[in-house]
This record gives sequence, C-alpha cells and structure tokens, in this order.
Amino acid sequence: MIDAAERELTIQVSAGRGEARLPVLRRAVAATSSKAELPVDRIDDALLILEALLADERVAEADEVHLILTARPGSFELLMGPLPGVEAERLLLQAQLPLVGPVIDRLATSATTVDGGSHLLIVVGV
Amino acid sequence: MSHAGVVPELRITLPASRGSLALLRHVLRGFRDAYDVSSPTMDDIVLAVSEAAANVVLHAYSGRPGTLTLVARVDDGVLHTLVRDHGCGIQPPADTPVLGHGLALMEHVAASVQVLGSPAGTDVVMSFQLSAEHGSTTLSDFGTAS
Repeated sequence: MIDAAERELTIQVSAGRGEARLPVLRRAVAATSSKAELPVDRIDDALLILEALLADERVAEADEVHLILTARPGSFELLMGPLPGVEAERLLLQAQLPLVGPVIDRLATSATTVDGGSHLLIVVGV
Repeated sequence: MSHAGVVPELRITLPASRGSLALLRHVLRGFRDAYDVSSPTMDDIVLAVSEAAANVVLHAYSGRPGTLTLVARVDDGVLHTLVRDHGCGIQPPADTPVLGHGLALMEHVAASVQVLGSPAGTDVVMSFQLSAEHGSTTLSDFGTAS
C-alpha cells in the first residue's frame, strides 16, 4: 500500500520575464495537477486560473513569478508569491481573462491570501 | 549559467525521483512553445537534460531523499541549462558504466557541457544552439540498453 505522503508531490517553479513564462508554467501546472488525479476539466480549470493570474498586468511586469505546486490525491494547490508590488488580495479579486471575466472565484475550490497577504493559495479539488 | 543577476526564464526544483523525470521533460518542452525550435533539436535538448537529471536521480543521493533543480534561459539563440543536485555528485558506482554513456550523449548533442562538482553537490551546465542542425545519431550509437 502507498501511504498519502508518498502520493504527495511538491515542486517549486519560477519563471522570469520572457517568451517561455506562460508555456513553462502552464506545463508545470498541467503536469502537477494531473498527479493530483483531477479530472481533465478540473485540470483545465487550474490552467485558466494560472492564465488569469499571469494576465494581470502587475504580475506580467514582475521580474520573476514564483509558484509552489502541490499535488495530493484529489487536490491541487497553487501557492503564488511573493509578488513585490502586488497586493495578493486585490489580485485574487481582479484576476480575470478577456471574454471570460473573473475566474478564480468561480473555478477554485478555495482561494485565500497567506503569509500576511504576500502569497496567494489556490486549491483546485475534484 | 554564470550570469549573476540575470533572472532565468525557468527555475524548477523537484524531488530527485524517477517520477519527476517525465514532469521535467514536459516542462522543458515549454521552450519549444515559446521559441522557434525544431522538433529534432528540442528532442536533443530534452534528451541531454533528461540524461543529466537521471544521473541525479540514480547517483546523487545514494537512495536518500533529495532534490533536483533545472535552471534554463535563452540568450541570443542559445538555450543555457543547469542541472543541479545537492548530493554526492554524479560519479556512478564502479560497476556501472551509465555515467560514461550519459556524458558522451550530452557532449554529443550539446554545444558545450561542463560538470562542476563540489562537496555541496554537482552542477551540469550545458548550452544548446536553438537553430542547430540535427544529426542522424541514435541512442544505439552510445551503446545504451535502449
């Protein structure tokens, strides 16, 4: 039998400015959330949340975006931060995609600020 | 990757386990989504980086838990990569020739390869021309099992 700790995966991924930021982070989120045994539509939801966060102009201008991604059976966590000059609470409320609108509130199982508001913790569950 | 102060386009740290290798390869292929890189060239890059990462998984920690870090950055048409461990280095056990084959493979497909060892761990630094012509070399040229 494999215990829960062995089925948990945590990776740290950071992306600087450049053409590769979105594709490498999308791939990191897709691969890690798939380890969480999420259904395909929830993996898509996790990717939409990531894209909404990266679309925020203050995040887009950040020199580096830091994520810690954790996969547990049935649950995927995205911890984003620190984001110098970006209020996590405001990002949480305002992050949206063109033609789609605000997505985090609609798609995340939970979304909170942590570490005194310097980080966002978003959970996508089954 | 000695450009102090330059923020890399990718820095990813994962558990040094076999299960991480596919994830690492998948993320690295994001550079093909971003830059004009041919499939054969990207395959070569992924092969060499994966080989360096596999050496970390197999040799760096002697079965203990540890981490594997990949740092990557594109500069003027060249992809610079660094694969880092914090273990005992990449020397394989005396009875396995795996590292020799792996290093030969990396040297064949990369424009440059440096292995920098220290008591704190090992860095494998490679660079790749993104517009590189692809040769017809196959894995069998290196005498690997596959």
